[in-house]
Amino acid sequence: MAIVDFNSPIGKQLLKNLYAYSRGLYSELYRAEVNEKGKSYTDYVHQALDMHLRGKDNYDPNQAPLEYHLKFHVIKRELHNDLPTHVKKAYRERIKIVDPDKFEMVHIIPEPAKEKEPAEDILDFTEHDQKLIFSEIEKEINGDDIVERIYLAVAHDKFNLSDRAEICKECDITHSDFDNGKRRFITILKRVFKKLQLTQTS
Amino acid sequence: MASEDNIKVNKLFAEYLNEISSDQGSEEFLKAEGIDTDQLLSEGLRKIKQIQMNIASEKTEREYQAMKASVFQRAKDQVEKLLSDASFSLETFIKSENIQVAYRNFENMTKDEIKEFLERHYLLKFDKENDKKTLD
Repeated sequence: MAIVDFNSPIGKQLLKNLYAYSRGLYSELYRAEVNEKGKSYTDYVHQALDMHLRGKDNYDPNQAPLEYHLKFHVIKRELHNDLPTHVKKAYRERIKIVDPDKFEMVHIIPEPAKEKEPAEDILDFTEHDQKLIFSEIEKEINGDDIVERIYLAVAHDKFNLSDRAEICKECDITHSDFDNGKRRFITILKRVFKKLQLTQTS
Repeated sequence: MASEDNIKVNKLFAEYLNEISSDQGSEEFLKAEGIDTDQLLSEGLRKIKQIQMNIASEKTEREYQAMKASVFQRAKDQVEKLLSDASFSLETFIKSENIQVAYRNFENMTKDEIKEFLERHYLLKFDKENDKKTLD
C-alpha cells in the first residue's frame, strides 16, 4: 500500500532515484536497451510500483524506508529473475558465499535497515573486468592520498562510504578531507563503471 | 566460491549504484545517460495513474461479481423455499407476481424448467431492487 504521494516533490525524487538505480543495474546485467523478456529498465520500475500499489510487495514501513525496499527487494530481484536461465545457473554455480554475514552491502540511510539486502544477488564480474576496474581506479587515483585511503577502506576494509566517522578514524583524515575526497572518489567510480559498460557494449 | 576480488568489485559497484541513484546524484546520472528526466517522470506518473485506475476498476468488478453471486444465491434460496411448499401453484404465483407469460408455456414445463424460470424471475427482481437501492 503506497504511503507516498508520487506527485509530491518527495515522490518525484523517489521516482527519479528508482529509475536511476534500475538503469545503473540494468546496464550491468543486460547488454541491450531491451532484454530477452522485452523489458527495459523503466519496465522494472513500473513493475515494482505496480506490485507496491497493489500491496503485493510485502512492504513493512517499520522494516525499511520505501526507497530501500523498492530498490533492493523488488527491482533488484526482478532484474535478476529475468536473466536467461543459463546465466542464472552459471551464477549459482560460481557464486557461493561462504559467510554471508561478512558480506555487507551498502545502505542508503545512515542507520541500518532491518530488511537485509539479499546476499546471493551479487554480480559475477569476470576476472578481466575485475582487473580492468582495479587498474582504472588506481590509474585515476593517481597519487591522491586521501582518495586512496577512502578507496582502500571501502574496497578492502569493508567500510561503506556512509561510514564517515569510522573511515575518518581508520584512515586518520579529517571530516573535511573525507567529504572532498569522497566526492572525487565517487567521480572516479562513475567514470570507471561507465567506461566498463561502454567497453562491454562495443 | 565468490572470489575476494569479485566481492570487492561488487562493493565498489554498490557504492556507485548508491551514488547515481541518490537524491544528489540521480538527476545528473540520468541526464548523462542522455535521458530527458522531465519526460521520464511524466511517463512514470502516467503509469502510476494507470495502475491506480486499474486497481479501482478491478475492485469495482470484484464487488460487482460478489453482489451478483449474492443475488444469485438469494434467488436460488427463494425458489427452493417456494418449491418445497406443497401448496405451491405456478399459475397462482404467476398471477400474484403479475408475470406476462403464455399460458401454454408453463403448462408443459418440467420441474427443472419451472425452477429455472423462477430463478430467472427472482434474479431480475432482486437485481432491480439492488439498482433501486443504489440510486436512492
